[in-house]
Parts: sequence; C-alpha cells; structure tokens
Amino acid sequence: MKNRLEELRKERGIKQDELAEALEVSRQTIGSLENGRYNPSIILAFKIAEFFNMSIEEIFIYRENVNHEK
Amino acid sequence: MKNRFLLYGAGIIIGILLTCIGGFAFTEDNVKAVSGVLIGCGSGLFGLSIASIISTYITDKNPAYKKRMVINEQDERHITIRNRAKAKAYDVMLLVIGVLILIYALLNTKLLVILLLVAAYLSISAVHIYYLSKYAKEM
Repeated sequence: MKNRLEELRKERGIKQDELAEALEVSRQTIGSLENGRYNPSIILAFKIAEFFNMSIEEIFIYRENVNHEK
Repeated sequence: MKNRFLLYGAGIIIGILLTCIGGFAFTEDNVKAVSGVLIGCGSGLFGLSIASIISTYITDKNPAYKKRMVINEQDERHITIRNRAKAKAYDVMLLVIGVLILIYALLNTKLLVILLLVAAYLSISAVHIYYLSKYAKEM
C-alpha cells in the first residue's frame, strides 16, 4: 500500500521526530511508513488522517485503486 | 517510586544471601548442583536488581527519555516485530525440541529425560492450541 505521508509531512514542514511525537509512535515507524515498508493499523491510520485533517483514502492509496485509476 | 526501590533493594539483599548460601553453606560434593543453582539465581537476581535501580533512576530523572521509552515499548511496529520474531523462534524451538527428543531416543538416554522433554513439547503445543482457540473466539 502506497501513502503520501512523506509528501504531506514535508508540505507542512514537520520533522519525522515531531510527527512521531504527535502520533505517539517511534521515529522509525514514521520512516518505515514513509518508505512503504510498514502498513499501519487502522487506529494509526485514523490518527494520521486526523493529524493531517484529511480522510484515510487521501493519504493511503490501496494498490488496486491505483491500478483501477490507470 | 520508593516502593520500587525497596523491592529492588530486597532483590539485591536476597541475591547476595542466595549467592553466599550457595557458595559457603552448600560445599559438600553431593549438593554441588544445589550450590550452583543458588549462586546462579542469586547473582542473576543481584544483577537484575542493580540494573533495575539504575534504569529507574535514569528514567525518573529524565521525563522526556521516559516518555520515549514508553512510546518505544507501545509502538505498534515494534510490537509487530517482537511478535513476529517470537513466532519464528517458537517454530524453531519446536523443531529443536523435536530433534533433541529423537537424538536422546537414539542415544538410549534415560527414559525419564526423554519423557520430560516430550512433556515439555506437549505442554508448549497445548498452550499453543489453547491460545489459538481463545483468540479465535475473541476475534
């Protein structure tokens, strides 16, 4: 599953450490999420969406949707 | 905090006592195994208590560090990694115990030793089945 976490974080000028602290996760988790190595739990996905004031679908892109759009 | 330090202090004293009893009271050859166990448990308890005191002291003096430790402990990715590692280790452990049982059986080891190992293997498998059923009902 792809996501726009890094893009959104950089847009808002937030450091990984700051985002990690706000979401109460480790900095490594933010790094792994941004690299696409780790998919978050639904709770963390909601927390991230709430933090950026967006919907989950706007941040996380399910691969099948991407193929469908193409 | 005081209670924790009292607990760790008690751990240090009990650890020293166990090590001393193991080292000085059980000196005869026929109780050498008991002596070894007491020294091992005593020094382990002593080391663990000292480490806990140092760790508690550092975390209590530094709230930011303590918060980071709590976040790292509860971090969902870290929990997933720990659980996956445990699951892999469990698979390997069952394999190792199974092979050990076979080796002991082929070496004509005492039946009691083999039965103890088989009992350990079956207990672990029983716990596995119990939690499979428990979690299947819960989820």
